[in-house]
Amino acid sequence: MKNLKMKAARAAKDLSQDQLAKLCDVSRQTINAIEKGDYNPTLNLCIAICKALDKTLNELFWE
Amino acid sequence: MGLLGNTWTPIILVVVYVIIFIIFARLINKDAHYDERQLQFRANGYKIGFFFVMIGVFVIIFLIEATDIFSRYITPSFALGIVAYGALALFSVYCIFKDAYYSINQNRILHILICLCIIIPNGIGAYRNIVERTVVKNELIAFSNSGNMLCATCFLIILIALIIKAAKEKREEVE
Repeated sequence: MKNLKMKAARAAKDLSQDQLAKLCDVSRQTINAIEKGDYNPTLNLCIAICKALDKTLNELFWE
Repeated sequence: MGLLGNTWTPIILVVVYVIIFIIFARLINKDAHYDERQLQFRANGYKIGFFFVMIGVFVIIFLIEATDIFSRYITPSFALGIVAYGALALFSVYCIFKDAYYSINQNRILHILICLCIIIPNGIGAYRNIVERTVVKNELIAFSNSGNMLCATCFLIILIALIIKAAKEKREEVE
């Protein structure tokens, strides 16, 4: 299932996938896979994404 | 002259390898690493490669013991060479198409140059072996004279996969 909340949060911060990937120390393809719902990130990566986007885990990853 | 050649050849080889090592140590980015998704796919790739080798070796042993299909055309060492290079190509192509081949911050151009450095000399060696007809020995294809061909083919497959993937990524960026 697509993670539209994460995509919206990234767009709101005016960040590209590449920029977010650099902030989280992962590849651009990993961010793309998470947004498309093709990959379930570990808790560590979820926290890194939340910190980069100034959001909580609930806001981005809880349905 | 022969003695001089024997004395200097290993020294020259060591010097060349040290120079190559120093150049690559300077060029390789120390921050390069794989993320968690890439590590997962690389582990899958290793598994696929491992099972390919296991099944390949089993099939070769079975065919050598049970039939004379192999022994009429190729030597067991050549068959094992195909399995080894096949596993390498399989692992690499799998990782390339799963975006797990290049690590983060890796210099991609350097990597393609390394591929070319492997393909060109091996390709020249393979071409020479084919032209001089030394690939077939005693009516059998032996690994000793066809190793270059296998190596060049394997890295050519990897290079083609890298080019296809790069073109695909570019198209995705445009879309």
